Amino acid sequence: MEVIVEAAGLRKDYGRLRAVDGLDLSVERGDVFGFLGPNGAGKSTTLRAIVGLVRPTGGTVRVFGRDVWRDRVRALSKVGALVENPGLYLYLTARQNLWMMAELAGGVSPRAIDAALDKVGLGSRAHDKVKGFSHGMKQRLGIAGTIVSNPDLVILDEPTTGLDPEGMREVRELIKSLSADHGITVLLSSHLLNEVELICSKVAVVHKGRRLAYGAVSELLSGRGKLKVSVDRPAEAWSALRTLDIVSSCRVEGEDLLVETGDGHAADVNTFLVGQGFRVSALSPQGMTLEDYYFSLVGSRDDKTAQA
Amino acid sequence: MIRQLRLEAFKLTHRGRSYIGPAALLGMAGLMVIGLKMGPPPFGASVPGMFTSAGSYVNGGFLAWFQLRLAMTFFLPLFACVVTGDLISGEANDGTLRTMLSRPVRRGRLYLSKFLVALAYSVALTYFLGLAAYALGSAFLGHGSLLTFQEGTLLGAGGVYGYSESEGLVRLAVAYGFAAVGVMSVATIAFFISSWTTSSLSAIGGAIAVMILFNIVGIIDYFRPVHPYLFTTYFDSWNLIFVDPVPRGEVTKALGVLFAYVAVFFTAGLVVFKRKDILS
Repeated sequence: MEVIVEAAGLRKDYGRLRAVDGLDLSVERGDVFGFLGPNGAGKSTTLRAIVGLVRPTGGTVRVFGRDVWRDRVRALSKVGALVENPGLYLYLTARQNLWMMAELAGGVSPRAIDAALDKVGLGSRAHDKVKGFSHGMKQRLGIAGTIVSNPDLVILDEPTTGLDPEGMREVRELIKSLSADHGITVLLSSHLLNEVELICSKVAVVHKGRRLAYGAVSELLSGRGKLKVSVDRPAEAWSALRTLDIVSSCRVEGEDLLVETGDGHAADVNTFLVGQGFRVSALSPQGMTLEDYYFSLVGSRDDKTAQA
Repeated sequence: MIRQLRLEAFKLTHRGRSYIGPAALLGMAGLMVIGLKMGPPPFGASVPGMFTSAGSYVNGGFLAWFQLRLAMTFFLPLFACVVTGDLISGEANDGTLRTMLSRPVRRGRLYLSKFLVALAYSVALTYFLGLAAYALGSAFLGHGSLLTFQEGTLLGAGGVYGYSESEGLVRLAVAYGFAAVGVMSVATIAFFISSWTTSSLSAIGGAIAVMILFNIVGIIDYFRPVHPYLFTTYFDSWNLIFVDPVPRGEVTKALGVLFAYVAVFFTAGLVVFKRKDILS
């Protein structure tokens, strides 16, 4: 598969603050790539480096095989990007704003501008000044700006921020259709885990400027299921299970225990508990969500940092 | 490049801010018409004894000349900076600079387009003042031959110069072009500051502060050796166009210094703009 975005050892310092610390990333054609991390993790800085808004302190960023900082026009010629909140000309109409964005990417036909407005549901507001738009409308106009010039890669930074649930769903559907119907590669950042899980085929989890995990969502989550164990003395069972090698984490949740093991260890857990004299009344496997996975990564990283 | 210039011109003409200067200058010209119509003419003391009175020298041409004298001291540079100091910083503040620079555009070209728009605005604003003053003056005070006055501070060549109406108009047109270069010099400083701040107020205030500081330095005798290098020294040099014959050496020197400021601050801003991180 063709690699469209490639960051290698990307580093960005703002004075003494290291925002991105040796990040590697590659987005292939056709991916819907989710860039996950808490606020301040370095997501936006990475996206800014990818579109050439900031100059990397170290490492390189290539888009369509071109170094963004040195050859930005060719690197970005087929890219539509919305980094952070949409920067719009409030004194111009929605249509004029889109026209400006399209012109900067080489210009498109008036029909393409109308089509982009319709796609985000702003067709009827085309000739209204952006000044009077709600936050959600501005966000949608910003997204229209990324697709108006017929890009091969769309970069969206927290695209559903500030939208109501209906708007969030619409944007998610739009992103899915960009990929499914138009073959556009999408790179999006988000801290909304369920959103990423719903849309993305691949994710990278970043925290404090470093990449903690990377890969297809299904791969990351496979073999990381949890077992819900109903047992008579959960607190004691918890202490016992913690000593077991096959158990990577364990916590008490109400009357039950949530035990994380690799695949196929349900029987071992059962045998162990019964052998220790516990009465196991139920044992059911629970699928891991991206959210569980994310907190298992970011949470543990925070613990280590706190200890250090 | 043409495409980007068109975009910049489009934005400039669609912003309310661009019309503050013309409105204010028009107001000033109107105020002056009332003052000259109702009150005694300025420079009255210079005239008696030199001319036999054959009507008033206060007309459209004179108003255009007089307005430029007044506006060049503060208002014309200020209103030019209000726009040029906002061209980059305003967009950085609104986040639209981020929108523009996430697209396949060369930073240098974007900067150059904005700069050319800044220069065009400075020139247009200056000539607007001239046209407004001449039109209002001609309508309410009449038109005719042009009488101008020299202080003689720069050349030691003071005096009164009178021209026929047609020659007066030509000299006015040239003098306004000259003054526009002065406006461009301070407008470029505002543009330069605008390239590294997100506050247009800082850019406008900074440029005007430099102008006022140079004006102060310009009247202190101790600093005489640096006076020839201050752009403000040449802010009234456009009046040399009304000396007969025009002192070409002085004119060339003045334009040279003013253009040097434009070139230096343009280049400095370009270097800053091409390298800076867009964080707003």
